[in-house]
Amino acid sequence: MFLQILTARILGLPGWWYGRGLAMVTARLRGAVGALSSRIGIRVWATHLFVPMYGDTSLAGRVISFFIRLFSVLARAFGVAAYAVLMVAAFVAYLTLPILIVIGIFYHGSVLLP
Amino acid sequence: MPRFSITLQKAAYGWGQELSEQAIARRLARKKAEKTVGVVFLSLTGVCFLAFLLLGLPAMFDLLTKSASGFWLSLALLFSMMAFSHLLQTLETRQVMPHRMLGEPIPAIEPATQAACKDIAALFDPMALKTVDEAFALARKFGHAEVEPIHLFVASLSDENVGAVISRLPIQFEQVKDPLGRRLASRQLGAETVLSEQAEQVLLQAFVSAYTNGRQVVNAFEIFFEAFLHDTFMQELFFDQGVTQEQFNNMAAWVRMHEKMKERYEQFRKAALRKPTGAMNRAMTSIATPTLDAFSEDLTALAAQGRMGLLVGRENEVEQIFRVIEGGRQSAVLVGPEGVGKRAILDGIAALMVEERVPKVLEDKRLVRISIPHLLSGAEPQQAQDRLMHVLSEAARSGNILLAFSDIEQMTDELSTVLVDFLSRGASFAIATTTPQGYAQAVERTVLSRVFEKVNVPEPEANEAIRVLESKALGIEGKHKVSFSYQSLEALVMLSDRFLHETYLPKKAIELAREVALMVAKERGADASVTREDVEKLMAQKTGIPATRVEADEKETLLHFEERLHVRMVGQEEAVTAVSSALRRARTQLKSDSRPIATFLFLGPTGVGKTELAKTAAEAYFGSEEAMVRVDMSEYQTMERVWQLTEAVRKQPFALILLDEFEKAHPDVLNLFLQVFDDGRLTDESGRTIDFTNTILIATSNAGSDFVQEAVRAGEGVEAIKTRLLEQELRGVYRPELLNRFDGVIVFTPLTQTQVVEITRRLIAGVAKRLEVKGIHFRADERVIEALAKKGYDRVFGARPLRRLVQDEVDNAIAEALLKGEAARRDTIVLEPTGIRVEKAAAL
Repeated sequence: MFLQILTARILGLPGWWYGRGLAMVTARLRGAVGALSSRIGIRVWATHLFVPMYGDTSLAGRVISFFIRLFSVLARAFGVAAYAVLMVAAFVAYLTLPILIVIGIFYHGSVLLP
Repeated sequence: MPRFSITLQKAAYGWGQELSEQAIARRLARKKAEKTVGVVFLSLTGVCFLAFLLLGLPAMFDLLTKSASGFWLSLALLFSMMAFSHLLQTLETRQVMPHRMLGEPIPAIEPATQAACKDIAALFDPMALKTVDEAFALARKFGHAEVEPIHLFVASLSDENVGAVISRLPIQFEQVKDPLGRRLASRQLGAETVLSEQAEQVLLQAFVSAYTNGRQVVNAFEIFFEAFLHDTFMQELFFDQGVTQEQFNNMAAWVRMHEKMKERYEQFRKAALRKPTGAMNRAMTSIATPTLDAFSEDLTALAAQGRMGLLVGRENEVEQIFRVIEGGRQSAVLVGPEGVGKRAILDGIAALMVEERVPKVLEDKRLVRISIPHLLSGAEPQQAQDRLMHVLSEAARSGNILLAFSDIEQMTDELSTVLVDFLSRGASFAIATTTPQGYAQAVERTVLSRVFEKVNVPEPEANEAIRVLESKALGIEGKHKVSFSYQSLEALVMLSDRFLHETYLPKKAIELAREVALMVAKERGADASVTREDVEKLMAQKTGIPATRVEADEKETLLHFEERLHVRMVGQEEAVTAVSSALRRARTQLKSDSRPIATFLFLGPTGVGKTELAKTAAEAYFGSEEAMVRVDMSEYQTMERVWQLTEAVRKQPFALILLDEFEKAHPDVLNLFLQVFDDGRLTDESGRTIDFTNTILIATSNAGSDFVQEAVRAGEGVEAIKTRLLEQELRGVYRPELLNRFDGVIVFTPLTQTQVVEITRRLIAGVAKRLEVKGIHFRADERVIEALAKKGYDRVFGARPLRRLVQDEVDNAIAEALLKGEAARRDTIVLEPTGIRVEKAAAL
């Protein structure tokens, strides 16, 4: 039983990694970005861009509020974008890791050969 | 292949796990092997990484140069990849519980038609799978041919939740051990053990019930629950221990509720993190609301801090409120009697708002309850109006506020006008609460009716009230360090429902639960269990009537109730029998719940024992003569005085009400009693409903007594007299519908000479009893008794003058003798035709 599972895991690794595994990891990373953007409420800020803050409906209030909101939306969007970049990097790393490992083994392994 | 399956969202589900010694061994082996493979991968990763660190540390950051360390690092990464994939694959063999859509019908179990079923075993949690394996092991141990529900039942007993259920039910292991053993011993034997069809259905049903309850996995408790429902033997066994199926269901609901509360608490905490608890909403459009804050409390903030209890049931009402608010331009008023849980609904809505599980118009809002007493206190009407306007304008400008008003009937007319003006402009919505009386007075006929739509909040059914109480029980248990048995919770709801009619469920049951917990904690200390008997005891203390179930010794008393009444009553066999059977019916709870315990009309001349029987019955049923409220109906010549009667009953709801000279009351007053006899209730002038269902009503009347005397003298039978009375003599006095509503119309016949003598004898015995206290003996000559009987009986007043006569002739003479010092302790006073004689006792 042990050997059976062991072989299945080793032989099935490439197929799983780029199939089911890839799907799971992608979903997880995407979910993380979504969760962050909902936590910092970027949608709420974006939809209220022209709504005055603190119920101050005077012209000055509206203008100030617009810029504050704009700034806030930009800052938040930047935060989310940075996070998304990180996640994309992780995704790329996931994709390339097996290839890098194979290259690494052969490249460095040649040293050990007599 | 599974024999049964269910279809969920077009996919078939069935029990696909083979159950045999080999299969179980195989599964165990696989689990072990999977674990080992994981350990191997992780160890290899570790070893390679270690080699990388030890051998090639210098080249660590120079991976482009060929080196041994680069090789080891690559290997370490490879093995970690394998470990990662292995871990995810092992975990992923489980399936995901399909999500149940709202209102989706509960799927039915059908014979399986296709082999391609999804295996529900993948959705069983480890403890549930262990239960199934253990059930098999148990059947195997006994050599049974099949694994049956009973095996699953017994195997599930080691689960923690199942243990909690059993411990709260009145089940003694010692008492079920033998029947269970006999049942197990009587199962069919076989060389091989397979899963029976019934057991397979139990497993499927456990899955269905987890699915319908929105659980992620099937746990051992569901198996336990379904195995019980599928095995009539277990049901009978539990029934013999005093556990009905309904009680079992409610107990299961309790366990599920706790599980759900735990799950919900986790979800809630996550949601609460994102909910602002201050005045500011997430969009930052609101403004500061200092005046509003001064006169209100923020329910959403309280909910986000986790200070609100769980709302049990009431989905309909919440849905209705949302519908009213979503409809726009309307606010909702919750109408229900005090204590049915209107406030709990408000709190529940606040909790839903925290989770944002509300219609769009309520998202990112806060629910703020304005305190009307605060608005009104210390203010002139004008000032209060100003305050409210200020509060409302803040709420309107802030724009993120949903207003709540508890007890809106406290609003003055001026305030109502301001509020209506505000709400009808569509500036915000409000949810108010009030009682049915409050609604009739302060909403329905005022301007408030324009903006408030009514949402009825009825008193919950007994079962729902039990569930509400279950949700509160944990808190009360924690506070007083006691634990409630299921039976005690049920008794709290049932008994408060039967005996406390001033307040409503579930509040009265919750309050009673607090009281009984305190009582038990004081009496028996920490960790005591609250039993049904404790609740009965408290109830008896509060109401003064025995709330206990009819016990064996009381059965004797009830069966011989007539004899008990005859201790005080002489003659009047028919009356005694009628009263006795009515009380027997009441005590065994065969009486209707919406009528008085019993209603009688006692007819007959004065002084034949009508009042005496009423007193005796009060003593026998309510435990004391004091429980008789005597009402002289001749005083009720107008309707105005009726409140005195209702007030008397309100103060003493467990009493025998004696309505003396019933026919002398005003006809309208008599008509009121039609309602009392039928519904057991009367509404007083302040709109309060007075409950008569725990009273015995006895009306007495002298009407037609001349006829009774004549007829008795003419030697007519009681039945004939009664028929003629009802059909002719009482015609002009009582309306036939009133007469028909009495449980019994009882004719008291004039006393015979022997009965009068007997009464005299008892009165004399009473004198003797009173003297006994002073240590003086007393006896009367038989001739004196007969003479007194003759002298004391009056044709018009019956035996009534007798008491006075005994007082005059006997008591006075004795008093004189005592004052003169003629009689002392241990002496015997003898009453003789000639007068009092004292027999001196021998000196000590």
